[in-house]
Amino acid sequence: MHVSRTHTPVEGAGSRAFRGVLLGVVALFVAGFVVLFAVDVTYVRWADVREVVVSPAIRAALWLSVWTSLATVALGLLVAIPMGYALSRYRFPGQAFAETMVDLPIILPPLVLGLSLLLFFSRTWAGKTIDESWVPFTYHPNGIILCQFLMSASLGIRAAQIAFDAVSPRLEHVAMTLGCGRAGAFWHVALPLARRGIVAGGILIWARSFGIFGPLFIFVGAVRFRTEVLSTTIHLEQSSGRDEVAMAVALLMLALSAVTLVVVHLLARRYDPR
Amino acid sequence: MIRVDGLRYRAGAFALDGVSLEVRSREYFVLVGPTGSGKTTLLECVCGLIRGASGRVAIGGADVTGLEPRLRGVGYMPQEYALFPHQTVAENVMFGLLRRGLSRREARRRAEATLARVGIAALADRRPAGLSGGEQQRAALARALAVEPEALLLDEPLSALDDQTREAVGRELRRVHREGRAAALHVCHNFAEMAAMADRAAVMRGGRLVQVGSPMEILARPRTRFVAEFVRARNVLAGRATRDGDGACLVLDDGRSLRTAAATAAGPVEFVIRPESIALAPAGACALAGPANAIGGTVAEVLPLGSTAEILVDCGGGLQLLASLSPREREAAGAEPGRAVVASFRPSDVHVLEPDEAG
Repeated sequence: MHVSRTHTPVEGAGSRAFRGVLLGVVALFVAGFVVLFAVDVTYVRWADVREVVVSPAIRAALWLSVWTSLATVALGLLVAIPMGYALSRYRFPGQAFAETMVDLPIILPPLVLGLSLLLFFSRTWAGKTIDESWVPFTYHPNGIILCQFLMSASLGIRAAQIAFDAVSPRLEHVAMTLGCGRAGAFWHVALPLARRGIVAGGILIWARSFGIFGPLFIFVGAVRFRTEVLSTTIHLEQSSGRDEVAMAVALLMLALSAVTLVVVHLLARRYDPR
Repeated sequence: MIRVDGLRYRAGAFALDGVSLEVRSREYFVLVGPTGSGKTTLLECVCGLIRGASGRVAIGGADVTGLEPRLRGVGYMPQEYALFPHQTVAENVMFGLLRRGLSRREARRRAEATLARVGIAALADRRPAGLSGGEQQRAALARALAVEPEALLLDEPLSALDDQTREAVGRELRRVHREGRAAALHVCHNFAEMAAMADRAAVMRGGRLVQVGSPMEILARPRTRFVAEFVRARNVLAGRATRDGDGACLVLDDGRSLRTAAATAAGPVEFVIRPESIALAPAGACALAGPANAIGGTVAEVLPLGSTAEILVDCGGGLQLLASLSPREREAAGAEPGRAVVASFRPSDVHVLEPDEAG
């Protein structure tokens, strides 16, 4: 039933060459990035790293980056779980359109999103009313969360959808004959079984939110101690000629992202689709 | 009790075309049919997992047509069992009990009792993934039984098991069912399983019930050619029904005539003789005493199946008869390939079929 990936058949010269080519592509790709990051590490002066870590402005940016991206994860999953489940389980008119809109932010140039948000909140009556009377977004940390959410929720939605697709509807059917309504079957069966995929989706949301910059620059600006996140810091430092500081911040982000990815891979390995 | 009245449903290739059926309390009813005949669809309509286009479903005397599955009082065991992989066996069995508001302690106690009933009390704290097919089957059965359903609905409950386990688990299933009062509706595609399990049975084809009756009735007196072939009656022949001085008879295309017990309206008919009803004897003898049809022929092929052997006798004129003999009968008849033999069968074993309905 289950064939291990390490189970190798007898291979002739042609098959060995084929494998060689494939593994060669993997090696080239990995080597390219290793070289790139190695240069970063050698270029950075440790004095700059120390300066970055103690700088109040950059600490504020780091803290803002962390809490906004975590808030986005919470908000993103709050939307991704019901949407992923709906897209996996129900068929409804306009579904193809809905799925296209879900995928759009993945390919949308980030600057376009920032511009669209700015236009909506500064030029339309509805946008201005929301911004001025209800929840402030423009040039406000809330705007950071909004940008991050719109750019990254799709990843969480798709991850949740795939996780729910891997749960057999038959399990929920049994749950329904045993006393659950649809909601109960979702809560007691589908959700626990899709758990790992959803967690992985949350990490994808976080990773993308953490690194985003384009729409923020347009929509919330780069105000020190207020709307400056780490990716904005890199831009600010770099454009004021302080490449070394920018590089030190970049290294900080790189380290945080790497840790996150390792966690994703560990989770993905444990996640066995049923 | 399960009662289905004029149920209709259509979705792609799967359709139910006005199915009516009654399974009494304590009765074990087996529904057989080929793939795509609508058996599973019917079962899912009874569960409430599919909403029928028209018709009614009643369980335990109450009309449940508009009720969602959880309110119908069913215990459902789907194909491949669908045990919850994130829960232990005991938690699987407790699932329905907890949804009914029992305390965890009480649910656990009842789950353990149910597991003991199906003989897997020792597996309570194992996960489904580590169980054998037979163990999974019992766990799923316990989960369905724990809620004390009026209707026990089993979709191919034995199909995923190997031959030896299937027999043991089948016996177990009948025993456990007899202890309770649920009406059991068991769906499968295997007529031998039907014969072994059913109090009553039905054969389904193209979304309709073709024949309902006891398994013996269906095996011995299949209503149509389709049922005859499905229950492997094998010797399906064509001829003309007529009468002569001695009573009803059937005239084959080559002019030979066979006695039948019951008269049929004159005209072309199809009829069937089960292989078990045909006795063989060496040429010049007859294996049956009393009035019997006897046809001479030569043994064309012998297929040993262990406890029985299938002997194909070529009677000339394109007529071939398949006889199923025990090793002793086979030896007595000298049924080896190329030997001349006489095939004989009683008039009452010649069973005339009704024309097949379309579909």
